[in-house]
Amino acid sequence: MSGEAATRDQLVMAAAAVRGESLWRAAARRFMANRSAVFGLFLLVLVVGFSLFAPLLSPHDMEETYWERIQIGPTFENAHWFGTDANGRDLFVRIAAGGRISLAIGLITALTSLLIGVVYGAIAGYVGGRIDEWMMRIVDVLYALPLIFFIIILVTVFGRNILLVFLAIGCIEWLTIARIVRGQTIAVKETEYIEAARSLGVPFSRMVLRHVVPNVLGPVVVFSTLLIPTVILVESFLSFLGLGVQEPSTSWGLLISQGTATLDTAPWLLLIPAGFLAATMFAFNFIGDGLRDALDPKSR
Amino acid sequence: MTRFIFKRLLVMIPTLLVIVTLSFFLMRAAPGGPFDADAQLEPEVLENLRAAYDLDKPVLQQFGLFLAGILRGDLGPSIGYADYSVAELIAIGLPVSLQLGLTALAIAAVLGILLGTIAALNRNRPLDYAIGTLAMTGIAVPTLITAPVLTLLFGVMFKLLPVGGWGDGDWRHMILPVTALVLPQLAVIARLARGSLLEVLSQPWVRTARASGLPEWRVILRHALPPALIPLVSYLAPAVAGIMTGSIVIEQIFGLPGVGRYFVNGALARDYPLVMGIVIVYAAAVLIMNLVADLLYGVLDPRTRRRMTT
Repeated sequence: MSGEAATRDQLVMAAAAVRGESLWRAAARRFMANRSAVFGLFLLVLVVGFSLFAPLLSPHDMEETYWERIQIGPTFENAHWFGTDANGRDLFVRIAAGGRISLAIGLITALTSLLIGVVYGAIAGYVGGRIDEWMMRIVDVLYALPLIFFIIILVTVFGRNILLVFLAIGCIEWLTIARIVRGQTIAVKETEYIEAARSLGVPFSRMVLRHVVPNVLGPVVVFSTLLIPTVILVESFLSFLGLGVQEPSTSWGLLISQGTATLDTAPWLLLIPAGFLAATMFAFNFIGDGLRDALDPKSR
Repeated sequence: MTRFIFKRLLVMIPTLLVIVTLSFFLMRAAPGGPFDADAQLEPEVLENLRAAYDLDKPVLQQFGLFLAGILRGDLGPSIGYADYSVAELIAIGLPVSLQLGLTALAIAAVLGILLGTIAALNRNRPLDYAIGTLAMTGIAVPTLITAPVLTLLFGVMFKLLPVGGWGDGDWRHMILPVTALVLPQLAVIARLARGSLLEVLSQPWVRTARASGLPEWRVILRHALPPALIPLVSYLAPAVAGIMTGSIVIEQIFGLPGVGRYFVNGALARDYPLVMGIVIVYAAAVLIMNLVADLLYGVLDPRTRRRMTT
């Protein structure tokens, strides 16, 4: 009996607490209660931490070649914890170096497309009418571009300048974000607070950036967490085909590609970088799913 | 209906034109040319070669010639693969890519719908979670990883299957590449099918069917599954075109003579006509499959039909 009363009291208190929560804090609480999402976050912290700090632990340099120790398996001897590659370079530090590049590319590109997509979609949705129609028609046409074929062409154009290539990918990947933001903006546009701001004479740019964009961010955040792994995959894919990151720098895709070439004699050169890439993909997918559940208005 | 199709086909032309124009000028903006690899050609020989492929003309005139060629249905000669026309190369590569992709997609569709249905019927039970985990794995682990790891397991360690090559389409050569292609598609289809079926199961007509005393399997097969599968159409039709890209990595890893390989080699060797030809075929395929998806949607779901008459 008293137990039941206690639970009821707890429920009432919990309900009161929920009422006082902001949207983002409520979402954060739901996210932290989601086990697979927290696991994803943990996995991501591990992978990022490894990429940043692993080279400090190892006595080796990523470009140093040991001719006397070519393709030796993972061993504690000489501190080659992940073994050495076909050129006698230490895989442990190379994976960290590749991880930095893969993760940085994912982040830069996702941010680029985020910026373009949010501004473009918000303007189209907010302005509406004929301008909206034309802006969205452009998006439709670009959607029909064979993306991967296009990226391959872009890579051949920009050659070795990997940063430019990924800015270019960012310039293509913004389309979906623009569509999402436009739809959200149209919904937000009719709300009272926008009307209030307009009646106060808030200028257009401030209107879009301060009042519209922050209120449409939920789905965008979810989409971006899924965009980062997509971009990392595109990079790996390009590097795998020999079109992306070039030696002497490296990325996970390049390491996997080199591992594939020697998979019959040195399988660890394939399996270890593949494991890191897969872990990162899982981490971002878990986090993305968790964020979607946490921010989805329908689940509230 | 015919007006709708006609209108959509008409919209395709400017879209294709934009794609063709963008890729054409991007290709030409790339540094280097198709004859860079041939060490030390005599200047006269180089000049003759360039003239043979119209590369000595101004770029705008080249573009005009190229467009005129397309209108005649002529994609031109390949530069990298001497003596082959682009059309011939596509005719060699496309059947390989299609055989690979369509087999993979068919298997993925059947298994994906089956798994998605099982998951939906066991919602929030261990079986559902198991299938969900499997689907998550399929989505998270890219073909880039599955293809070489499968090769390592079945080709190198257990020596059960050939490591690469096409073997003229022998089924043993197809098992590994098809499996690698199936996994991600299977995962997406299973997820879509599960979500869609769950939604349909809560509809009034399913309740009515149950209330009228039909056996459960009949309710599922006759009343719930058909409408639940409609949304899959809008995924599957474009996927048919998408498998061409999906198989680029697969073709590279397993050394299969498909369109994807020709494209990558063409882009690297600045084989302008070959790259352009594949882009056109691919873009047209995507656009047509999107249209097919919309039309099928109208046939399968009468509620969306009104949209098409306008």
